Amino acid sequence: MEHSFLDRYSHLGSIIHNLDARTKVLAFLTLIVVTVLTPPQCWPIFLFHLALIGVTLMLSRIPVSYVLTRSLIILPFVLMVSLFLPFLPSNQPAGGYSLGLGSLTLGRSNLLVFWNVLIKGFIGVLAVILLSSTTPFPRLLEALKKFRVPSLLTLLLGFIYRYFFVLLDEILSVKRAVASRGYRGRWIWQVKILGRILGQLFLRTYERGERVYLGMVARGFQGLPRTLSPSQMRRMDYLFLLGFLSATAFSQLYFR
Amino acid sequence: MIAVEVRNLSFAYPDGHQALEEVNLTVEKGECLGMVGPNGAGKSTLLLHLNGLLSGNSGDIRILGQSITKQNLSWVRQKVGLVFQNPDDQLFCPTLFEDVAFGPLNSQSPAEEIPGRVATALEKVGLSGFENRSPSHMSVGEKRKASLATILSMDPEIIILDEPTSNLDPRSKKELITLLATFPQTRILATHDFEMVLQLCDRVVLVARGKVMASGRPEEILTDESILQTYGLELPEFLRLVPAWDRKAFISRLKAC
Repeated sequence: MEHSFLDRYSHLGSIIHNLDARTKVLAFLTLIVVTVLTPPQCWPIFLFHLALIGVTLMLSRIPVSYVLTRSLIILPFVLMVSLFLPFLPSNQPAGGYSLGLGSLTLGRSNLLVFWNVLIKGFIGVLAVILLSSTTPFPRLLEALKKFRVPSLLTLLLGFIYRYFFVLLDEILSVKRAVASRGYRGRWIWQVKILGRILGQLFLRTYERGERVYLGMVARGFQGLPRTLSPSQMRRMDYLFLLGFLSATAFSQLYFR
Repeated sequence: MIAVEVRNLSFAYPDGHQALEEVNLTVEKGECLGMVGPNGAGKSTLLLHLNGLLSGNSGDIRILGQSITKQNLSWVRQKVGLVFQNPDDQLFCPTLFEDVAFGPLNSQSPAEEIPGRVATALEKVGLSGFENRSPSHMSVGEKRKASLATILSMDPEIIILDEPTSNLDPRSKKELITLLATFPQTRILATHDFEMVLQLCDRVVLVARGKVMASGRPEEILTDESILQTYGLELPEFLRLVPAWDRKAFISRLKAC
């Protein structure tokens, strides 16, 4: 067991943590959608959104360094985009906004495309990190259920959350078992072993799936999960939603 | 009163392997029955039948006097709680609360009853306060108790455990045995752990080659070296070290532990 939690810090007890999961899903989802729809030139809006996230982050008492480290995950995507930038036709509208000027390689529009991806990706990822580290995953699933996401889908997500670590442990133990017999996976012809390991893991997962299903049927499962939902929207939830959404709306009206 | 009655049950897996052959077994209400036998003897297959997960090619199974049919399957599954060998198969929900609530929810218990049922079941196994924990981050001993709670919440009259003490450290094992001893329900334990059977069970059946080969008091069957040898088992070392004339007394001392 050498893995950290997916939803680390989600069990702290701040104001933000105590909000209903639905409130947070709604607020952050709105923020992401609005961010994506904002033209890249309107940088004050992005600043405002960052400030909004910053305030929420302060209220949630999650270490800023943790959030920033995790947000690095967007780097590969941004780099990917930047790789293609020099090849973009610089004097044509890119991504739906019309821009007149442009130079040879990294023109203004290209930089704007880059900025567009960077800032929107950054804000989006911050929002998701904030959501996942203030809401335990099971609560998140509950919120999705309340939003009428099909129960088959939420059940599937629940299984992924539950068995992700089990599978990780199995991979780890197979890796150790192979390594302890001197396998180092260095040469291309050793790839055959890797294939067998993957096959083995697939079989194990498959068989586990069957046994889990038996375990469910043994407790009377008949095809559709019935669930309890103890959570409730309280006054604090409505206040937070009102504040958060009106702040987002305000930035659109004022800075655009 | 009879809790479980199996008559002439035969079962072959789709690949043709005859797992059970004319099995006959009767378990009294409140009895604690041990089921021993070598690997592949058919113990697990038999257990899957008792909960209606498999249905034999021929024969009859009665639970609390009623034959298992398609119509009463959900009743059977509520009355017969089956705990699987690997807790990771039994506990599949993101939180322990949901896992323990899963059975009662399926048996259409009223929603307002369920938190209480979960709390009672968790309290019985000593895991109060674990409601929001994820089973993937619990120890094996805790997972085993949690698996037990997932069926206790359904209020079963018959509890079936497949290898309950496998992979447990000595203390967790002792705790589990102490816990099982306090249960008033009919219990069936399939196991290789003779020590547990001797401490806990009123009766033991020896299953081999898909049949019930012997049945009797644990201190008689499990010390009978010729029976054990014939059906692919061995006298455990801790009994071998006790002289034959002293074994009965030794076992009663073991039970008192």
